[in-house]
Formats: sequence, structure tokens, C-alpha cells
Amino acid sequence: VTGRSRLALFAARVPAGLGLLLPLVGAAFAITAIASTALAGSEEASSGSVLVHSAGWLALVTAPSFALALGISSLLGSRGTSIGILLGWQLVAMPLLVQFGALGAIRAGLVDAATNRLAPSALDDGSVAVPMSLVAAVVVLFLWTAVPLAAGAWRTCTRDA
Amino acid sequence: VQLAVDAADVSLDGVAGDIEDGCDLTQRTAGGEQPQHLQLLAREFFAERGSRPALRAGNAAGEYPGVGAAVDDVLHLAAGPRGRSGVADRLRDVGEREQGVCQLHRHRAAARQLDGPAGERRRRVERTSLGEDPRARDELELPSGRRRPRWSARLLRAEFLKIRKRRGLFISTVALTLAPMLVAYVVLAVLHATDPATHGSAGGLENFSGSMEVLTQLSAVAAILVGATLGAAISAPASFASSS
Repeated sequence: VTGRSRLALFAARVPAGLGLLLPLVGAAFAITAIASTALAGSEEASSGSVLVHSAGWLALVTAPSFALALGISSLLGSRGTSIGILLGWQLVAMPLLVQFGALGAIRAGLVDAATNRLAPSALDDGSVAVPMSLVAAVVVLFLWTAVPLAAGAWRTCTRDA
Repeated sequence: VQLAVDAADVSLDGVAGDIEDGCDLTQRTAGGEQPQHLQLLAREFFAERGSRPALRAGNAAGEYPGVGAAVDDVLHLAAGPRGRSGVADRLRDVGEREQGVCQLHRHRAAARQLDGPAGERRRRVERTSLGEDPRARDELELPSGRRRPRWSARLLRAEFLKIRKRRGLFISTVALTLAPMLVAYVVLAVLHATDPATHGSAGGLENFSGSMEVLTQLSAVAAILVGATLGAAISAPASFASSS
């Protein structure tokens, strides 16, 4: 037994989880980058700057999702419920909300809008772009990372045995 | 007469005895309760009244970090699979540690009685090991008078090892990240090799853009799986007791 506080255990799981996740995502990106370059043939290959920008953007998309899941799961105390809610939010609700023009500037508070703002221009996938500044996108991503983590840490520290 | 009374008092009721830095060589080991029992009672007292911060402040004072940490976890141990036997083991471990500290204090007291170079050398070694070299203090597992850092490399390695040993989670993450990219480009390369007229090159910026679109979605799903698993693991009481 370490005698560590619950907060320390919670905090240690953030780098531990990212330590598992990011190398695998990085390896997948490496396969993509190498294959797209080596097998380009006569087509235009991705430039070095595009590859670097894309790698950073991929990490930016992955890390907040991990933080959100860790925080929500700690808050709810249930793995299955958290996964269900988060998958529904990530894959269904958020893309729909971003495309719902009536929401106006409120959409800028969504992670999808912020990550789309930071995406490399060479990877334009035709998704709806919500107008927002670079700083606003960074702030939105930071809040979507920090707030769930803070909530999860609070719940972990105050949870009854 | 007074010494005799004190000796009997300590033997029968060690919890109420005074804590002295060098220990008293004339006193016998408490025959009944151990010091941590008193802190356990205090923990229950404060927990019932919702005054955990007060007890934490006591722990943070660093008088008995080992005991305080054990008390922090003892309720989780009691709720764990080993139940009361786990609690008993924990209390015995802490008792042994405190006895080790007491023994060290006795050695220090004896060193003070030494004169000449031998005594000076002995005192220098103790100053180094107890006050000026924190690594030596950690190796001795002595109470340092302050809390340990919130997390350390050992704790990170332990947490990483625990999550890496979850085979199902690891395979799921690989299946969501590495496998689709590998399969997609192998299929595209084979299609292009068999029928170049119909299927264009497997690489290129266009395919890279499409792959990234898929990879970002799958990476987010993998991140949700890993994060939710870690968060739920924290919520389980046994995880606090087994984090060694």
C-alpha cells in the first residue's frame, strides 16, 4: 500500500492513460503517414509540415476525449454508462449540434468546433466550420479537458468508501 | 515509585503514553493497544461528524505519516475482499514500522553517550541519513515530517503497468487505432496492384486526408474506452487498497 492520497492516484492515471493511448495512436498515425507517402505513386504526397501539423492535431483530438472520459467516468462511477453516454455525445450529438446553424455562436463551445478550427487546412473534410478565433479554440479545448478532470478529481476525493 | 507506575501504565495502556523523541529505554513495549488504534478511533470520530479536513491536517503535520496513511486506507481495506484480516495485516505492518523508528531513536540516544571520534562519526552518519539526505530517509522509510509528493515516477509506472496489463483494453485500443490503418492501406495497395487502371495509388494526400478523418474518430473512441475504464477503476474501493 502506497499511502497516497486519492487525488494523487487520480492524477497519476492521467499520464498513465495517455502513456498507453498516445503511443498506439502515434503508431497508427505513423502507418498512415508512411503509407500515404511511400505509396503515393504519381499522386501528390503529404508534405512534412502537413504531417507534423496532422500529428499534433490528432493528439489534440485524442487527449481531451480521454480527459472527458476519465472525468465523467469518475463522476458517475460506472464504466458502461460513461462509455454509452460519451460515445453518443462524441459520434452523434456533437456532430449534429455543430451542424445546427440556429445555435449560432453557442456551437463554438463544442469540442468539434474547436478541433475543426485547429485542423490542418490540407485535411479539409468538408465539415461545417464554426467561425471562432484561434485563442477561443484553445480555450474551449482547455476547458473541455480541465473541467471534467477537476470534477472527476473532486468526486474521487469525496466519494465514500 | 513514580517510574514503576509509569512503566506499568505504558505496558497496560501504551496509547495514552507520552511520545518522547529518544524513547525511554527503561519502558517496556506496550502489551495491549498500538498507537494506530487511537488514530483509528479519531478517524471514526471525525468521519462521523464530517470533519475529515481536521484529521487530514493532523496527518499533514507529519507526526506519523505511515500511520496516517494506513488509517486513510483502513476503511477501504475493511471493505475489500480480505476484510478484517486485511486490516489486521495493515495494522501489524504499521506497528512494525513504528517499532523500527523507535529502535532507531534508541540508537541515536546511545550515540549521544559516545565520546571521541567514534561518537562523532556515528552522529555524522545519522545527520546525513536523517536530515540532509532525503534519499537515505526514503530508503529507511522514516517519517519525514512532511507529505510525499503528490505523484512520483514509481506511482506513474505502477499505474501504467496496471492499465497495460488489462489485455482486453489493450487489444481494443490496438483494434481501434493500429489495425484499421494497417488493413486499409494493405487493401488499397493490393487493389492498386491488381487493377491499377480502376484503383488509384494507395497513398497520396487525398487518401491521407480520408485516413485521418477515420483515425481521429477511432482515436476518440479509444480514448473514451481507456478513460472510462480508468475512471471506473478509481471508483472501486479495492483500487485504493491494492495500489502498492
